[in-house]
Amino acid sequence: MLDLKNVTYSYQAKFGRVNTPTILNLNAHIDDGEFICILGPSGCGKTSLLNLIAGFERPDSGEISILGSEIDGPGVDRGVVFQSDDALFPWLTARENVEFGLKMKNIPPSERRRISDNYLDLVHLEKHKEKYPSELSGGMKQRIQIARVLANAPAVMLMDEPFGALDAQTRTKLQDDLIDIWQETKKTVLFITHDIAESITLADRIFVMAKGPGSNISKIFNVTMDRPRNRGDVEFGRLWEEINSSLHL
Amino acid sequence: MWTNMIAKRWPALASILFFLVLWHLISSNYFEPAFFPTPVITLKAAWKLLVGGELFQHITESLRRIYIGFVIGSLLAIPIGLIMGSSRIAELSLDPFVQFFRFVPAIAWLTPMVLWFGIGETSKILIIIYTTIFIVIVNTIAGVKNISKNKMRAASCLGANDYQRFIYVTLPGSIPFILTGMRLAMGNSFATVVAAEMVAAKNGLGYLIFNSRLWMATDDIFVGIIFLGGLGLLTDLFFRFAIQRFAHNYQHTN
Repeated sequence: MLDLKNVTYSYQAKFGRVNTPTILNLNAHIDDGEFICILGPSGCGKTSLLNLIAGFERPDSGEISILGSEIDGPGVDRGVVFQSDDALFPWLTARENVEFGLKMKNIPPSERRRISDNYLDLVHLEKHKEKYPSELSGGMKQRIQIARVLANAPAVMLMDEPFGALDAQTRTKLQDDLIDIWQETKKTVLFITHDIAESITLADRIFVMAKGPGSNISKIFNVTMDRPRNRGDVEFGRLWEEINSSLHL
Repeated sequence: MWTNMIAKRWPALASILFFLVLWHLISSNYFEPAFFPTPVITLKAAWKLLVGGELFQHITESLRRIYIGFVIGSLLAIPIGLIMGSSRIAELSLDPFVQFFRFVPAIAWLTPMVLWFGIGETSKILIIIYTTIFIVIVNTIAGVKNISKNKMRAASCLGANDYQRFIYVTLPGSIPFILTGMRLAMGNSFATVVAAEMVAAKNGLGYLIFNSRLWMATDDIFVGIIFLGGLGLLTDLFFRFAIQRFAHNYQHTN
């Protein structure tokens, strides 16, 4: 459903483009319903890749298409969960944040309410629907972001290190819940992380990006373990070692 | 309730009391009343003006001019600032004028204003509008620029078009800065009303201050000064209370 062909992208500096591209000749194909993790060290261009797919940035060359049509700017078919909770609207309640996209589409209030109820329940914010983001914890704010994207029914959910700023316990809980949500909604997910264990816990396939500049997907790991996955498993540890050594080539 | 408030605010009350005592000691020991009236003399002058009904009229007239000018100025400035903050063309074409005029104080326009608009209320209110508008514009622009990129991007992904982004993100997202600008502008409006009322006014605290100089009625000047400051202080308190009460959730923004 998502295709990237020979994508090259240079970071837009203040004056013109930087000569050495961040991403060079990147190719990838993602199937409908897949959970993909993009794993790589910081500065490897994984956020640039997400920005390209989201349509926030344009590639220098190459082609990115979703469901056969080329990407030309941001669109409702691609929902983004941002790392920072500054993407939420603090003047709106959790419910109003989730209903934002529906309101833009002029969906009537009663229908909006039904949809927001559904997704707020799904992300376990039943008791916090009418609260403002400032009244909620970091983990809960990321739950609002997830519900806000899902309520808008995108074809793919793009997640840019969404749990990176959370403490370890909250992160683990959100990973588990995300898998439940994914299994329930059958949404295609593209999840960016620099945490190897996180990628093994979540993904069907892990795309490893090497350290830049000029990076692309250097290796793909298939994760076939049954979900929910246990970090104590032998297979988990073996895969961790394998991925870790591939990152330090 | 009152005892509670006093307990909480005691440093403010203590410092005001200290200031009054200091004022009294300096003015009564070292100066003639006509040069520097004591608090008691000022209070007596205020009482006289109050009983005569003049003071009340001065206050209401000044406040009317301040509030009308302030409200019109803010209502003009907010949309201009939002558009300048959102559109590069609008910003580049209007910014030179904003930066030019905000450095020319309202008082410099007194004579042209009177020439063009007469000595009536219009020129006085225009001067207050003038002093309000540029501060609110500059702050509104800053507010728009301060909205996180992620919010605009999120809105785009959620299907908002340019117009919807402006109404549902840019406008609410800049409210904290707009309110800060308005608070600053309110201070300027109080300062400028004195200048505005130099324009052949027959009333207002500015008139009281300015006219009293002709009779060396220093005590009346002090009454005007104290009421201007006091009313400004109360207005600001009210403004802050309103922000706290109604715009609380806009403040957690970045």
